[in-house]
Amino acid sequence: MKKRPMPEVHIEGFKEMSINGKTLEYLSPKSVFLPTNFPSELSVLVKPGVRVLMGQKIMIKEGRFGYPILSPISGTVKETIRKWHPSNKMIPMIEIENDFKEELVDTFKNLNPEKMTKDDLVNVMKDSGLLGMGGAGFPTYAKYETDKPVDQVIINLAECEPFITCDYTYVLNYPNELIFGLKYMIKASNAKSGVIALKNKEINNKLIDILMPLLENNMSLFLLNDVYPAGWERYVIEKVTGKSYGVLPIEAGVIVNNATTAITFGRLLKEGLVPSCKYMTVTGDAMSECGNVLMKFGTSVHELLDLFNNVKEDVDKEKTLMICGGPMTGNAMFSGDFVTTPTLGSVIALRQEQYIGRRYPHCLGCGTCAKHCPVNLSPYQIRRTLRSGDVDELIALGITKCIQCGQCSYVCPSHVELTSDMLIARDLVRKMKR
Amino acid sequence: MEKYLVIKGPYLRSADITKRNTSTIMRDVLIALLPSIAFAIYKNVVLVLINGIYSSIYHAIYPIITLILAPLTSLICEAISLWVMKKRGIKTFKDLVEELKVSYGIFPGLFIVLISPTYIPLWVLLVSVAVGEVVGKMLFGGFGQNIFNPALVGRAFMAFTFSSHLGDAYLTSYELTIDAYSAATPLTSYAKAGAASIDIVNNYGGMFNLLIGNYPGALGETSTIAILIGAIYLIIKDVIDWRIPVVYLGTMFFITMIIGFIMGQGLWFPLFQILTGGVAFGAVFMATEPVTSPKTHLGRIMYALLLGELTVLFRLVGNMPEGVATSIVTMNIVGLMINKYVTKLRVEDKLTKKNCYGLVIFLVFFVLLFVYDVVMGVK
Ligand code: SF4
Ligand code: SF4
Repeated sequence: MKKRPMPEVHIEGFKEMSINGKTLEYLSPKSVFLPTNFPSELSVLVKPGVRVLMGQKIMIKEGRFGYPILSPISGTVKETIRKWHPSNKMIPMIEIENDFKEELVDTFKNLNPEKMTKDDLVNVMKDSGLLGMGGAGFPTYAKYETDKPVDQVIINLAECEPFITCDYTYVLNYPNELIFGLKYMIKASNAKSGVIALKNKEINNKLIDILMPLLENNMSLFLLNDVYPAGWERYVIEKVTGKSYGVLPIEAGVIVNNATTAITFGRLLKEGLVPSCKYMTVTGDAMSECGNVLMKFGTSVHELLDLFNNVKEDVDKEKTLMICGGPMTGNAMFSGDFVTTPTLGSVIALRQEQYIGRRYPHCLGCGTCAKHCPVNLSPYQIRRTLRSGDVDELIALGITKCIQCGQCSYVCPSHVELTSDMLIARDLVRKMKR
Repeated sequence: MEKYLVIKGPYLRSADITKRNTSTIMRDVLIALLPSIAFAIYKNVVLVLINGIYSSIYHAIYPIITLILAPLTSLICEAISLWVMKKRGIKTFKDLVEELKVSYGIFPGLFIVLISPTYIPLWVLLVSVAVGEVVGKMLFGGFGQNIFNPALVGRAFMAFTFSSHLGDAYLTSYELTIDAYSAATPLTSYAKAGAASIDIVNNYGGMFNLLIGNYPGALGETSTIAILIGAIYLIIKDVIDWRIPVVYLGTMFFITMIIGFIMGQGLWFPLFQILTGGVAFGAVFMATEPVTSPKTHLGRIMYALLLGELTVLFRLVGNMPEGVATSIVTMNIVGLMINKYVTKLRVEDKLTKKNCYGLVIFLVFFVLLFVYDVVMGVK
């Protein structure tokens, strides 16, 4: 049986708001905050009161796929305090007070990538704690430490969620670094070629014009359809290579990295700049101004919002969403006082007055959600089954395959909260099967 | 500390961006019904008035009265049930009004009047509407929760409880004066006739007239042309899946064609079968009702195939003029099973021995029913 082609839905982008806005740099925050138990408990290497350099190891994530967490600034370590994290939890964080000297550790100074071997490059990725910055936060070196043959390195520049333009902005401002990073990613994996995949839409023409002349012989651009979820790894790989795979992309002979990750790697090799900053998009109809800002990991979001004159005066905050991440997969935050992380791409403030207190119809059983689910689930059916709590039935309906993309809720004409029910169902199944 | 709104994502909805939501879908269904309603008024009211054969003005405009009262009754029943059951956080009168806006209470009533004999006594019609609305819809939990098509529940109730009122209620006062229509609708004529003969079609003004719909029948069901216009609109607007009507009509046509050939009849026979007795209306408006039909392409095709066979079975073998309604109500239940199976099948990566059992059962059942239809349908 031939597999159904993946459903493709165009979603209104709303990207012009931030592209036409300001592009700022904010690399000297008063303090940065580094979570000590995210994604799991970390071992802390520094004591309060000591001075640390930019790029010095602050914490280590132990175990398989472990990695160090480096200080994004130079300064003094303070007491651990609790702060809001993008996961919408208050968690303990180490505060580092900036001394504004930007003093770098020696480790990565004067790297000579030309002379480095594949293993050297992978070690640099490992020692610098380079993470996938598209959202997953998976350590990059882990993808390269493989004995399977790699055919292609794909740079994912799809940025498929609406509103977000942080990858776009970083590439626009640092195109050479992107190519440089890709070049050495190809080297680090012994791949034959590199592909930069981006969406075929008007705003990207500018990027295409800039990147085209910079491409080296073994590099090319690939245009994806302007659909959601075009940035989903599986989708990108299927489109670029025509191959599907079981669990890991390496089975199809490819490694996929996010564009910001590649630039960060390029800057590390070229300038010795440790992974410490990225662009973040600040946008939404409740913001006074929109745009992108180059910021250090761990900066307080309210400092960044102030750069855009904060949320509009006339906005009723209780009727406004402060979304951390994209509108499809992000979280609405209680407060605008959380801290940024390497995987955070955007903060979006959206007015909701017109939606509050609206009454929506029941599911009418149109099947639209099932038609558009990228992994072929039938969300309405899972939702009905969830009410009976039948775990085996939920598994038979494939709930464990759900990628929480938000597509089902997005397309539903009845505003049914499918995606959150999918999450509840998935968690229920995980709990019961343990 | 400032507090922002916290709700579950995703925070964008196509229903808000594109302005296409469940209410506009239901509005489209209403628009698609307009040609049929207009034709019904033309045939049953305008023509009667033009010909001047009517006992009283009330009798002449009776179809319009039913077209207004039936939807109204079902809306009122909906409101009362919602108020009594206090579902979905209805506390104040304002909540009730808001809820009525998204529960689409007029539809069961409107559909019932369109598929009922035109001159059915008012109380019979309204009781059936109330039963369809309350038993078929509200007791299941309201819009979107029902297993059976509410309109067909009401119609089936009418057929079984008040059958004595139905027979002669189809003809307008003008049609009553036409000798050729002696035996009411084409379908009842066929049921009464000893053997199949093209005379039946000729009695009703020929094939073209059957297509146009100027012959005795249920209020909204006679004009296949008007229904087709609605169907095209619904398909363009992506409200219904073309697979259901096309496969359903195709299956019926194919089986009755074979039966016709065996009886030595020409192509008129299958055409007669799909042009009369509300097949087109059932195919376009009833079988495709989203709540009660399968949600996937494969499921819909399986559903429509069986539906076609069942209609032939009830009609030609069971001699029931309400064959369409009965078969759709039956398929509402079978469709649940089909949908459940197909839903699980599409999660699987490939078809294996383990997961194709449903397809095998379906095929066996399909073939058996097909053979049975053909053998028993021959008169
Ligand atoms: S959130 Fe899950 S169920 Fe919904 S469309 Fe995405 S993958 Fe499918
Ligand atoms: S899209 Fe919404 S209304 Fe349609 S079946 Fe899915 S949940 Fe129901």
